[in-house]
Amino acid sequence: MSDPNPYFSQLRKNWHSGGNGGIVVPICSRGRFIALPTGLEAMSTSKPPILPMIGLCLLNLAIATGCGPSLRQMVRAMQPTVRAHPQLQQKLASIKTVAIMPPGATVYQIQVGGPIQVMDEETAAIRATLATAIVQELGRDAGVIFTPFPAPSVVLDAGRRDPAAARLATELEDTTALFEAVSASIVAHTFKHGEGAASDWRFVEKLTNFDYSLGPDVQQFSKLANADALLFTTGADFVSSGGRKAIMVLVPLITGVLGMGYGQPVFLPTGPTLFSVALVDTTTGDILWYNVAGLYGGVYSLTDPNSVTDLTAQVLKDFPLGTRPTRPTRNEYEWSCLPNCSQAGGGQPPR
Amino acid sequence: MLKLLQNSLEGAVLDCRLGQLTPARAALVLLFLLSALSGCAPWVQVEGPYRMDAQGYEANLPAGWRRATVVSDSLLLTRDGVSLQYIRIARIAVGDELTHTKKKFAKRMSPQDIGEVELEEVRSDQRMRNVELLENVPLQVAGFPGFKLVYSFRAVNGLRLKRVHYGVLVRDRVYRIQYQAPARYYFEKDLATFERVRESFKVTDKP
Repeated sequence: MSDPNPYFSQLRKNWHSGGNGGIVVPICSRGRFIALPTGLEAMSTSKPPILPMIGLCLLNLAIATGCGPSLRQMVRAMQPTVRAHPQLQQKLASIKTVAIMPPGATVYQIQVGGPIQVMDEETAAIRATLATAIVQELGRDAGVIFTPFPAPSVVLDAGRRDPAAARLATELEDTTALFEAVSASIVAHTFKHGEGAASDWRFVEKLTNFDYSLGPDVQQFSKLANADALLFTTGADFVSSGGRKAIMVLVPLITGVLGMGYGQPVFLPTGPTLFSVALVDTTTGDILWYNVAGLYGGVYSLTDPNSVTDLTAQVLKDFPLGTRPTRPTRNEYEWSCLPNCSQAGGGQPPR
Repeated sequence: MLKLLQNSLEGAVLDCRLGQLTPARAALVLLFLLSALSGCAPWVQVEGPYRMDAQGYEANLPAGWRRATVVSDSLLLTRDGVSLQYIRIARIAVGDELTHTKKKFAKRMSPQDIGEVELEEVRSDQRMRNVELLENVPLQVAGFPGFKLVYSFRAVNGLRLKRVHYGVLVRDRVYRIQYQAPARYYFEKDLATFERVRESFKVTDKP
């Protein structure tokens, strides 16, 4: 499949990097490469934070271009990734059974200056791996029953020539695709991606009234699974082709020797990995709780089972159900990041 | 540079509206744009009458929605994010090539012919799969004879989307007034809001 998105190609052409420890600094320039600032180097040697990839990239960029926040501000902006519906606490009490919906993850291959391809086999494989990892991770929680919902292919296989099974499989695929679109909007409009007004794509009302939804059609799944809530997941992994990997090795060597990167070797960015999860109300389809994990720079890969286990643990770390301590279920942390709010953490919700 | 960014954003928006972008890809495009933009907020809240002088039209914008400030050649609005719904008003000059079919509108084309050209353009877009025409009727738009198309399609990632597409030729420009959202749940949710915007649409360009 050829690259259907010329803008993404343009983006890749504009990526350059510099620095250490696998941290990538993307800049939009004409062949200039930049070195990482000290603060970022320090971060790269510690445990990688979990955050939406865009947040990291933009913060890296802001710092690298000299107009970024301090390390403290940066870490503060990165850490909270949970979003919660205003009625989450009331709803939680009635949730005893959760159906784990089939993951909607996709693996893409980034080629050398060329198209991005969907890797069908890898995609099918990671969906299976993710499904297993999610069940294992949530299986540690007591007090709630987690029921895996069959994947569309399983539904189809089980109900061969059964129109109802075909309909259900289509409904599953449609809802998974819808969740992907909803997740994209959540990441774009409820996270701060850097400093300054130009990088603030947040719709602030969504932070106090997190009202994203998949709609009431999800009832059909909850009825079939006899569940009080549904767990949707989606992910994306961008892996480099063999040719690109070779270039990733060669470019730092060449640029280091020739000094093309203003004295610093140039590192091509590895592909990003994102994984998001949502607890969904069975009656309204409202997203009650949402979290996203991922790191730009190749630390995680959905094609590596160990990495999937780590990523799953990270994204479900603050999951509000089960015996684990309930972590923030409101969006207080964001209030402190809004303009005119206190830097000390005592911010007020936007009015 | 600014033009390049505007074009990029519009491309990203286009891809988003087609469901072309997965969250990660959308994020990457977002990164590109954000990293190069500076100064103004990319989205501003809107409500009430809005005049797009550069484009020669005006409309009454719904409360609770936001307008993209870095898109200059059309009016782009959303409430939850462009992947979940958007209203877009744009115009194409007679004689300009369309992106996919390379066809051009002509001054004396009937609304029905313009609708056919628009439909062909949609069907030629490889990112829109299984395009299904649900409605194609002549209709007055902004007081001029126009058309209304309703169609559904699947984006590359499988998302089923639905779009209402009004069009009208006024003097030497074709105006497009579109609303798009995922067919499931989101389309119906804001359809009435869109219709109010469409009813308020007026061409302000003088001959």
